[in-house]
Amino acid sequence: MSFFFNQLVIGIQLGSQYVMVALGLTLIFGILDISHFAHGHLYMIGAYLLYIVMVLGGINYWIALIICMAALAVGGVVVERLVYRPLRGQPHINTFIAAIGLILVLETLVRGIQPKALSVPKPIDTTLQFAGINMELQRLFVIIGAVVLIVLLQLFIKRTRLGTAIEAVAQDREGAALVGINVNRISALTFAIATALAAAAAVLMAPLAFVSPEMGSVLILKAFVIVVIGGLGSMKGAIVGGYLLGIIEAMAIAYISSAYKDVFAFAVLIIILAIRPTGLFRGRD
Amino acid sequence: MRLKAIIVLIVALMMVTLGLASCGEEAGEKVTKKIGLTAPLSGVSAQYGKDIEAGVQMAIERINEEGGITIGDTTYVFELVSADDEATPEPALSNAQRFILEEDIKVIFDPVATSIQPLIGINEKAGEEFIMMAYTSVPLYTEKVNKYMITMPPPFASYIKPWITLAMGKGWTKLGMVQTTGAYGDLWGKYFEQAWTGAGGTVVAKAPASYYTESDFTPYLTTVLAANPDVIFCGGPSDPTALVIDQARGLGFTGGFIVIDQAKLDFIADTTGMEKLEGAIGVLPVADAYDLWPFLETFNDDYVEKYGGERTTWESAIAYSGTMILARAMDEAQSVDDVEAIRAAFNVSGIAELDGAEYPVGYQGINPQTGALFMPATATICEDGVFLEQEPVEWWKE
Amino acid sequence: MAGIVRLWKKFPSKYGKAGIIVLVLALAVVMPWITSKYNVRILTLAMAWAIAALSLNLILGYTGQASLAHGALMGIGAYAFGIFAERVGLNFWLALPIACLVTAFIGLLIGLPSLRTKGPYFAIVTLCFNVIVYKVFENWQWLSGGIQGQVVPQPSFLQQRWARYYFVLGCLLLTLIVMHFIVKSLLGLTFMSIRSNENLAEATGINTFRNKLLSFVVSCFFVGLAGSMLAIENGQLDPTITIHLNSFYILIFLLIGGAATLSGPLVGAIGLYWLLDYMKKIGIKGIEEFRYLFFGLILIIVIIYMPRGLVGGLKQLWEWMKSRLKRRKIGEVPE
Repeated sequence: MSFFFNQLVIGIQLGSQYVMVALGLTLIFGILDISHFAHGHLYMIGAYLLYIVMVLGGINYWIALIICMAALAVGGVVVERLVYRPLRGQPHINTFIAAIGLILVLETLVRGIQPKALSVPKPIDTTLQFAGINMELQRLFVIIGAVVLIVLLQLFIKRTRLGTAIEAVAQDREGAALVGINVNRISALTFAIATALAAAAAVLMAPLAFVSPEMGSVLILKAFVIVVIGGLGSMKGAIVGGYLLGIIEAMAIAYISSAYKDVFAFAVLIIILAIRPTGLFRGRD
Repeated sequence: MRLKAIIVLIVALMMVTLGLASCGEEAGEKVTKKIGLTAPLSGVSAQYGKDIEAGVQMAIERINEEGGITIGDTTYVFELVSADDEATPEPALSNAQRFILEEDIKVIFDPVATSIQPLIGINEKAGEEFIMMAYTSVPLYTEKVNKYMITMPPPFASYIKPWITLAMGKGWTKLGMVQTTGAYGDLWGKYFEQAWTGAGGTVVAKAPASYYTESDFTPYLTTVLAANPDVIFCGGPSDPTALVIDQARGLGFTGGFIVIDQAKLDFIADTTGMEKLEGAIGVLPVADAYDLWPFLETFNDDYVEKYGGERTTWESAIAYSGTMILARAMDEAQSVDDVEAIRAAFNVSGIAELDGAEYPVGYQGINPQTGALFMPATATICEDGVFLEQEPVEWWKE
Repeated sequence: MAGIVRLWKKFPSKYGKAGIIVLVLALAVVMPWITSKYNVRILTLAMAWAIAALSLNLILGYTGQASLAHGALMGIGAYAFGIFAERVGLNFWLALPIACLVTAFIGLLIGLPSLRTKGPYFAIVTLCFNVIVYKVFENWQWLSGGIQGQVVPQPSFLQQRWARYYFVLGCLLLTLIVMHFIVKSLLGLTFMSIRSNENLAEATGINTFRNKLLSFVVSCFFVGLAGSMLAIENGQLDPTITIHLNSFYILIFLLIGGAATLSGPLVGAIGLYWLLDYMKKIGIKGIEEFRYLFFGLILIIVIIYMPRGLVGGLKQLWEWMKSRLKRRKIGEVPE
């Protein structure tokens, strides 16, 4: 029983990082209607930024978290301005090609500068023990960090003027423009928030994993799967889908087959979509 | 008028270039012969390919410095041409074909197990033969008969016996398996599981993980640790292997590790520290093999001076020594082009034997049929913070 | 300049187009004699990729459904050919159509659930299928052939490089002709009506699901052919042929070349495959190492400035030039 509980907690922790990345992706899809496939690579840049700021710069981990989120938010805005805005109004699949182009550029660049995988020390290196579970403290930080960010994001969108404007654009772009909302500014803001979330996920996860140029390409596949399970543009869907995928993976490794766990996770997605073609929470068509 | 001038100019230019080209062949006496390398030079496995490249390059520099190979009144010096194959067969085949057809290359190095097979599918073709210098420890290749293939490292199966002796000597019988997925890891797993159960051990849990795509191995490790193993069989590229070991210790695992030959214990120690490696069994690190082959230390210093980094790797050392044997075989055959003769010269007594005082790896001969070079396999176990050297296994005698 | 334009105008555009086709075809036929053996191999592979891009063109370019499973399907076609020709020992002429049919059948199985979804959902579902297929090939050693992969026997008449070149060229032409007839037929019009407005097509009495499925299955048949061509040229297969990155490459070749045209996929696949190979062997260290960076930049720039691909862009440019010339003739001030 404690083994099952153990896998459940790990599944939630895996899900936490997925949620943070998927939330940004679904926001971007909702507002800008683009498949931002390079989101995972911005996450990867976030992890390298942490290495630069914390390991090379010697700055405290928690301050580094803020710095990385801010820096990557700026990066996200630049990407939106340079790559995606010129493509506005073009077919959906064209933005996908641009995203692949961006992926190739970022990955090649990072590997050219630093070909070796890096590791980042944990801010507090202890292992917790409770109820038969062994868990590194950092995993708890990931779980709590995700919850805090989800709550903050919800508060921002529901309680502030800017947040409501984002929701308005997501629901009806033309209508929002009519009532005087600056759609360009909202797009930039959305990208800033989404990439800051990805940076937070990267910074929280980096001490548990190793930092490598291809760390984003696996994550982005899963994040897309989550966004689609939940329904494109649906924040609720991204949260539920993220935790769901994390738990499915952890359980598949434990009880089915570790080598085929992705097969299992992706098959679940296909079944869900075959039954509900627009996701669990009815996203956009 | 102008057209005429241009034509005259072009003709003159052509004559000059032709003249220069022919001059090079006759007057120089020194002819540069190219050697090909197809390896992953970009992407996930780039470092692996670059280590091989460094080894061959350093060997070629030494051969050239020592005066190249003299055949008749011509002296041949060598040049390495390397091409990236991203560790996939299709580009590897293209690279090989470009080497043979456009660069007139007769020797190709390839360190990727899955792309060696397609290359030995074409290297016996009449008129397009080439010597295949294969860097692979897959036993299927060391036992395979191909007219022109040479394999350089020892087959991985030769580590299995000493490793099991070490592990069982510690009283470990319950094994958990978390090695990498994919053809190489699967094959390793199959060989090892068979030998382990054959020696009286049990495999209590299996959770292979993709070391190339995963970046957090905790759910795999918790699954295996739930079965209380004494020792964990793991390994893939060094970086993720270090993470596996680090996370296993983080989860409270105190037993040993058996690390497959792809991962390097010295590089893992850089990230995890020696403390977490206590009880790790694997391939002896380069720096601990200096007493076996004294030249290895000189080689290591040269490597670090030339390429930076902490230390050299077995990849570089073995590729270097393999290249030296190749040069000796060419010298013996008195040819740099005749593939048949060069391959036959490898079998001439003494050619495939290198002295560890002059070369980083002391080779002890070659299997005349399969072309497997005899390099002893040396295991190690990490105890009290040091890698203990074990008796080298002379696998070809078994 | 004006002289050339006048000459062009005297020439009805129909003959002009036919002239270009004959010219390209003639060039393709003499290619093995005028270029090196290595280039023949690269062209053969590029043409196989062009068949794959053409097959994706049917489902994406003409029917409007972005499949990201074509890489996996290409791999399935290649493996099916290899397994039937080597392990089962079938005759080449039997193994090839069977490989294409197997791919089409797997395509049917994938299409049944996934074509119920639309737009980006369809793209992601097919991408998931691709990941599943790749993972199965990676982990099921019996299927993939393990570390030594699957050997593909080359029949006696395809031992020579030039023979394989002509064979693939023939298959490419066959694909082009079939695609041409599909596109020009009523079926093609049906597909295109689904592309432009699925709901409207449904309202006019078209069974959109069945037509989409048909388009997908036919497309899979040809991507299976492309896979078999790759298998024959390489003589060897390993699981990486099914990886989802290959789906991305087929998509890139199609969209950068120009979707919904017959020449676009050819230009994209042959041009870009050659470019990637050229950047690798150019002999300049920086370009070799960073070739994917340049490739990525090219993708971004082309897709921003030529949203309809190279062929679409050239067509647009030509139309624009023609309208300018016409106006000047009439005496209007060009804008």
